[in-house]
Amino acid sequence: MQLMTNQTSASGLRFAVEDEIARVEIDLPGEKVNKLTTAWMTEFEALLDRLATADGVRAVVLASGKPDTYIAGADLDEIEGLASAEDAREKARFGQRVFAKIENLGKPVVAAIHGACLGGGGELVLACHSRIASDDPATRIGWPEVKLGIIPGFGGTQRLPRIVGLQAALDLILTGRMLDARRARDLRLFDSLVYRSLLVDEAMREARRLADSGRFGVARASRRPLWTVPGFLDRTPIGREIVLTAARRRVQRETRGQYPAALTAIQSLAAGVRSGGKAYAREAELLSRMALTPESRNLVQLYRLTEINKRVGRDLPAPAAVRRIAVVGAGVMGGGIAQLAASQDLGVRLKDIQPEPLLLALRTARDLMHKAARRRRLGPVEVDNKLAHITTTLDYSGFSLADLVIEAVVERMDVKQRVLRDLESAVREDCILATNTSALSVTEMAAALGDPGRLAGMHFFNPVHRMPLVEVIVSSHTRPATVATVVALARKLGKTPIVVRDAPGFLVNRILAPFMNEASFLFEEGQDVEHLDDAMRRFGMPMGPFELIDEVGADVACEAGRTLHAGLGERMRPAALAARLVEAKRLGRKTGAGVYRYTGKRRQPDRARWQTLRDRGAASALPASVLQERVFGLMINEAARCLDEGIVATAADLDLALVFGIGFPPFRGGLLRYADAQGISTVVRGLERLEREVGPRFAPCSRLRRMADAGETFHGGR
Amino acid sequence: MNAGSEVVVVAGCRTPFVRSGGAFRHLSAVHLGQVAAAETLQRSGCDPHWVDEVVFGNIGQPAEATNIARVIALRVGIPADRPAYTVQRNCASGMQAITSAAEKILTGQARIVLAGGTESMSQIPVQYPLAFNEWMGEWMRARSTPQRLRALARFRLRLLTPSSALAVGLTDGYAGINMGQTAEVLAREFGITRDEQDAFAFDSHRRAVAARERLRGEIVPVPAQDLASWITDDQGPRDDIALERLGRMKPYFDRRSGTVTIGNSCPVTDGAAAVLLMRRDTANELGLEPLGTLRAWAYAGLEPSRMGLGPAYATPRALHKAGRRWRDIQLVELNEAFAAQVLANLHAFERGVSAPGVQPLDPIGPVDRGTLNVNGGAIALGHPVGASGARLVLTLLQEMARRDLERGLATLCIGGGQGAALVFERN
Repeated sequence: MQLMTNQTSASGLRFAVEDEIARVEIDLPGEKVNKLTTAWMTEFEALLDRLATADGVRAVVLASGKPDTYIAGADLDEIEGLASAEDAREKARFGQRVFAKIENLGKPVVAAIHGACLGGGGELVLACHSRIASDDPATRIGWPEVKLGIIPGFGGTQRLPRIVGLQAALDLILTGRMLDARRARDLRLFDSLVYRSLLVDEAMREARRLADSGRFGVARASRRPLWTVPGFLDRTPIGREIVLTAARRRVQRETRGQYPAALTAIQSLAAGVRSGGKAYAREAELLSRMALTPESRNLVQLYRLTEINKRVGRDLPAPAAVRRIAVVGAGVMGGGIAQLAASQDLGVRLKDIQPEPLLLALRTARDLMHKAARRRRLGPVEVDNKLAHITTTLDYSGFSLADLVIEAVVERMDVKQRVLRDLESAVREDCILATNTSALSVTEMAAALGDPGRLAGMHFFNPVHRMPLVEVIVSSHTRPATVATVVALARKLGKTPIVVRDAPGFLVNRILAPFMNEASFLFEEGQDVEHLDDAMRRFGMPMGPFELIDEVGADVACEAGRTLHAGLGERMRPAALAARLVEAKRLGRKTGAGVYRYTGKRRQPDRARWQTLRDRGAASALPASVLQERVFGLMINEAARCLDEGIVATAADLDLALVFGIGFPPFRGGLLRYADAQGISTVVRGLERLEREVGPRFAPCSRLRRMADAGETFHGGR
Repeated sequence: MNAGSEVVVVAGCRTPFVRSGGAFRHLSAVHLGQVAAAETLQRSGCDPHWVDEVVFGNIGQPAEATNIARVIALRVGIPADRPAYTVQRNCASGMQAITSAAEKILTGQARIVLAGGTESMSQIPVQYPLAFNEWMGEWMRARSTPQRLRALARFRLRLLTPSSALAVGLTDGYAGINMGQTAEVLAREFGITRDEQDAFAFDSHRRAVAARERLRGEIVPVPAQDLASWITDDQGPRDDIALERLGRMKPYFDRRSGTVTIGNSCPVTDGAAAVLLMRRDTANELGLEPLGTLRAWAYAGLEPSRMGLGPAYATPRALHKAGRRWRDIQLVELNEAFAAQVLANLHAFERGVSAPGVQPLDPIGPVDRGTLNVNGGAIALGHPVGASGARLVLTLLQEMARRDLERGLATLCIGGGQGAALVFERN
């Protein structure tokens, strides 16, 4: 048999035999990352068959030929191309069969892992007899299937608990989180870590050692003593049932059943631990039930949108290098931005006119970094190094060193313009200016500058360290190079940038406005507050509209409503609720009472007050679907207008912005995908009916009508 | 030397000085140094990428940052390919950093150097006796049970008797006497009375209190460890200083017949200072405004037991190198380790030293108290040993600018029997 080869096969498999150890390299041709395509898997299976019987091979090492990925997972195209549940089951069974051949090769197989090892890639290495990884920040392992609405189907739910124990396996599979190399080693997912350049050599040595000893079997979880709580929970049947029941309850509570994949993953894990890790057929069956759900389709689509977003800015000039920034205003937003920048190793000069806010910002930054250290995302020395990036000042000293300045002072046009004018004389000529505003016109602000082209909006969401979206707002003056630099900075800060044209409310707040406003109208018509909040949460929103009003503050909501009304006309006329709350000084959580009452962190209904906040009495409750149609119908209509006016370039950006900006339910794939799923003509007919029954604000915009007539969808195709 | 190649200081700043065990007790010397260094760069508008080298003075080198200058350099964003080193000449370490930086610049090895000094005297550790180290070694090597038992049997509780590295460090390693005792020596030899010392200390506090607002110009506010408040001023100067209270304090170093008290000595202190040095033409090129030119400097040695007299020996040498005479100097910063020590120096400046068995010294002239330590000195402000040298230079240059003076001198005494003196000029 011919085994010696050094050529890469058509599907991306390359191998060589050195001293009776076969070194297999995975290197998909023409791809940036390795993925488990059917073609590759088929060839890999054939190779395993040959390796099993080859005389000159005593052990196998599996490595990647890509610079910073091991295997990024299954091929999304293939997942989306699945024709039927039957098809999905077959694919899973096939993958399981191939990976079982690794486990049962009769010769030790060692995975030499450097780079991202995700999903199916993670499942592949679980089937190996030993996993050696590079001690490198690029090396990460995780199973994100549940985030895509499916479950690991190549044996992952069977093998993972065997290696890390049931509790850790549940955590990894349900959250889909990625582990860095060290944490993976601590969980014994990786048997050892080595310096990157020694990885393959070490793996070869380990393979030889295993072959010599002849002792390589199925990996086993570390045996914690039975009398300890973790040992009892992981190792006894009763303990495992307790763990599974608790997980099921928690998922049920947290997802309201909107993410069936999580529950299904628990089922598959349960079948595994009950059968001693042999419920492969069950796993394939459960996967097949998930693979074609609309939730999964939407989540995969959404993932693709994030990939597409990485291309934003490609058509712009090269961004300027940003090493150091300055932030003006050390409030919640300014302080948050400073912390975020420091955590990404940018130098930050933070200015305020008062010393106390600076102190508070430093405290918040320190607390956040300490929290990261407690979760072992940062070492103690790193915390000190990163905090050292922030220096504070009461004047503009040091601003000549900033490559970009973000202004985050109070939301008043005159103040912002004054600050920008001052800034222009304090910074270098090539310094980019950004304004963190959520409501004011960037174009108007730019008028204060001698060089208005250097200014763009950079709308962060609160809390800055957690919210993944940044709206990059482009005024009519903004230079393309300015946009490019701000977009690049947002990415460097780990955010998803969406480029938005300057118009009232920009994109996210403009579409969000009807969410709160229409709910307020419904309240004024006599609908119950909690019923409304509940209906929106059941739709999948992370928060009901009234909870949201209380969080952002009635004063802020009221002001935003006024701005939008003034800028966009009658359809944005605000309901009376927010203004009445302001009048009653019930501004929300920050004042201890808003729509709801707050004792400590607890939110409580305030029924007696609700009656006084509207002019008519309670009406009979409308069904949730009616409430949802009114709220989301208006939002779709507004979103269509935004596309029409060129506020945002694509439906993809718009959907991404709403998922990342307001938590529009990811399993619905985005607002416009939701509209597509309903059918544009259904949406239009609904709006027309509401226009007749409720009022003219529902009148469908021309773009929606045109799309309905032409049978178009926002996202095209599927 | 042409004017372009002379070394100038373009900017500097320092942390407030805080008595050890106070608001900075949890802040490391690295942290204090990094704050002073970062702010110096920010205020000067000097990009960290322009800096060629970092030199810092530090005495109680923390175990977690043995080359503290390097850690500070990286923390403030100076690129990793720029070297950094730490210097130690006891109390002159901060000055040594500046003169070492100047040497680098004058010899063309660096264009821009960030220099300074930092000290957390709060964090100088308590140490075990060497015998404990040896016992630990034996215990670690013990493998078998009999070996372990043998080691255990040799254990004595006195092995754990701690000693303060600070107290040890403040005792002269050659003469074997404490720094305070060297001040007692000078007080006796120069006939300086307790009242004179207390009056000088009183004056130091009064001047520092009056200068509080002025000193803010050189101070960067630092949050206390709990980040609940800003420390914006030196914590040492007392508004309520009273001569008679100073007079009631017991002598500390010689309880029976001494005159040196805690009140007329400098307190143990935490703090840091930094300055930015470069050639004059570099400063011009970058558009940075020099604070002053380092015209000349000198170090001198003397008997360790009279270490406080260091300035008297170093100053004439520095003046000679600068081609200046004592009366040309318009402003003096002379470190106040002890009131007795300062007064002894004034005595020596004016009348010289000619006692038998003591290094002879010619007089250079009387000192106008109106030009000496005009903003108070270490007795009030504190003396973070590794940082004070840089602080004196910074304070001198700021005050020279404020008064628009041309020539000034910063000098201090150095534990172990040395003196340092730096001559600065403005034009």
